[in-house]
Order: sequence, then C-alpha cells, then structure tokens
Amino acid sequence: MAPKTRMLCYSDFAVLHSGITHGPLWSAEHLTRDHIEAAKDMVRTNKFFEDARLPDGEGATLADYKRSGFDRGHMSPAGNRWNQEAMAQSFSLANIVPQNRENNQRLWARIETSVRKIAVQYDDTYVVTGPIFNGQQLQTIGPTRVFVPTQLFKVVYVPSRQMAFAVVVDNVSTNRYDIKTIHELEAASGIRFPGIPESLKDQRPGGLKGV
Amino acid sequence: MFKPYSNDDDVLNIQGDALTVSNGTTRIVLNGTLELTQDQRGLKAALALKDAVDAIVTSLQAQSNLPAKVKDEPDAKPGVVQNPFN
Repeated sequence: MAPKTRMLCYSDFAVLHSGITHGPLWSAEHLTRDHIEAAKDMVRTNKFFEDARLPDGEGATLADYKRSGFDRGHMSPAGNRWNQEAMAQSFSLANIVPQNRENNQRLWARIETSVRKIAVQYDDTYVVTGPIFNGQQLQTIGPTRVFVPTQLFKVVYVPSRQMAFAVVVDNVSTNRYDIKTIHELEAASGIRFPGIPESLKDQRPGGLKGV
Repeated sequence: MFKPYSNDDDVLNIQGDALTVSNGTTRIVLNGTLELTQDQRGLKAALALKDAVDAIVTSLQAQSNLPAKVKDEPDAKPGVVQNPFN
C-alpha cells in the first residue's frame, strides 16, 4: 500500500493519501474534551475541495463524486473540528472516501457520536479512521477511478484508560458494526499502529455505548 | 454564505455535524438531529436553520416555472478494478 502515498497535515488532523486509491488510507486526530465542546458550537458553510498539494491524477475530483451514488464520507469528521479553519479543511477530498449513503447518515454518524462521548468522558483520545479494501475486485467511481472501500474502520485509543479497540463496518446499508482488537485490525487493514502499546493490542471492550 | 441550488459542493454544518444542509443543483438534503435547547446555543442553531430554510423557500418561490416534480437522475454505474493490495 506504500507506493504513491503522501502525508498531508491539516490544522487539527493528518492524512496519509494514496495516489493509487485516490483517497486517504488513514486520517488521524487527537480529541480533547474542550475541543469537542467547541466543535458542538460550530456553524459554518463548508465546501468540498480538491487538495492542491496533490499532483494531478493522484487525488479524487469533485466530478468523480457527482452522481456517483455514494456519499462523500469524512474520515476525520467535520463535527470534531474545533475551529473554522479545521472544519473547512476537513472537506478536503483527501479526507473523504466513497461511502454508502445510508451507512454514512445513520450507523456511521452514530459511531462518530459515540467516539465524541468517549473523548468528552476521558479527555485525551486518539482516533484513526480509514478504509479497508478487501477482495479480488473493487468498485470505483468517476473518471479518476476512486476506489470504493469494502469496509471502514475507526481505531480509538485512550491512554489514560489504557484502552484501545477498533470498530469495523461494511460499506453497505447496515446497522451492524464489529468491535475488533488492534491486532485484528492491523491484519485486516495492512496498517500498523506503532503509537499504541503492544500490550493493549489484544484487548476487546464490549462495544460502543449508544450505537 | 449558503446559496441554495447554486452548486453540489457546499455543506452548511450546524452544531458541528449534528445537522448538515447539503447543497445541490437539483436537490438540497438535510441530515441529522438538532437539539434546540432553550439557551444561546439553541438560538444560534435555530437561526442558522431558519436562515437556510428561508433562503431555500425564497429561491424556490423566485422560479416562475417551477416544475411539479424534478426527474430523478440515475446514478452512474461504478467501475471495476483488480484489487492491487490483494
């Protein structure tokens, strides 16, 4: 997965972008209680945009998503951004994957809300969100052939609680989510999480409250 | 500034992404759950929603030949690639 990847830093999240999938491989954010409280007060008109730092052909375009049948699904969510600049930046297509509409609007929105509750309860929380590309063949959208993920994951790490787990959902209209250990997620996604202690990578909490 | 029906790329976020108003050239989509508490935060959100809906109504009323119902546009068929990561 490493070829044609580029790290893109935004004001309060960071993305590893792939010129092969034409989207993020992961998007990482650090949540705090104060920032989530600030984010809840945000009112802003935002605009999806193509990140000018990406060479032509590597990033998805607005045209790719038009009438694609998929939502433009945020990885690091707009609703976690605690200032105007950060919220605007979260609409970069480098932070977006083609996501099933009902999934994005229902299940995924509830998962994002649950993660915010964790950050409000425990304060410092590290979250990494990204796509999983499984199977022999993949769907694509648009002239750029943006890969449609088969699954989406969210890794949640709360150092103060020594808690780490992953949530995985199929990129279809579903209400089902699976809780995975970090080791299981590393195997499924091909992505390593060196910031999470190895000793926490086999624990499996019961589930998410309120999903 | 949210200009209804002017593009397919604007999103008005109210209370983070509690409620989103996604612009579109043929349809605007509202998504989410907004809590309008009896406080300054609730008023701020209510005004943002009111402004958006007022602008939508004004825009629709200003069109002299507004159709009874726009046609549904079919989605493009997705492409297929071999998974390079497999």
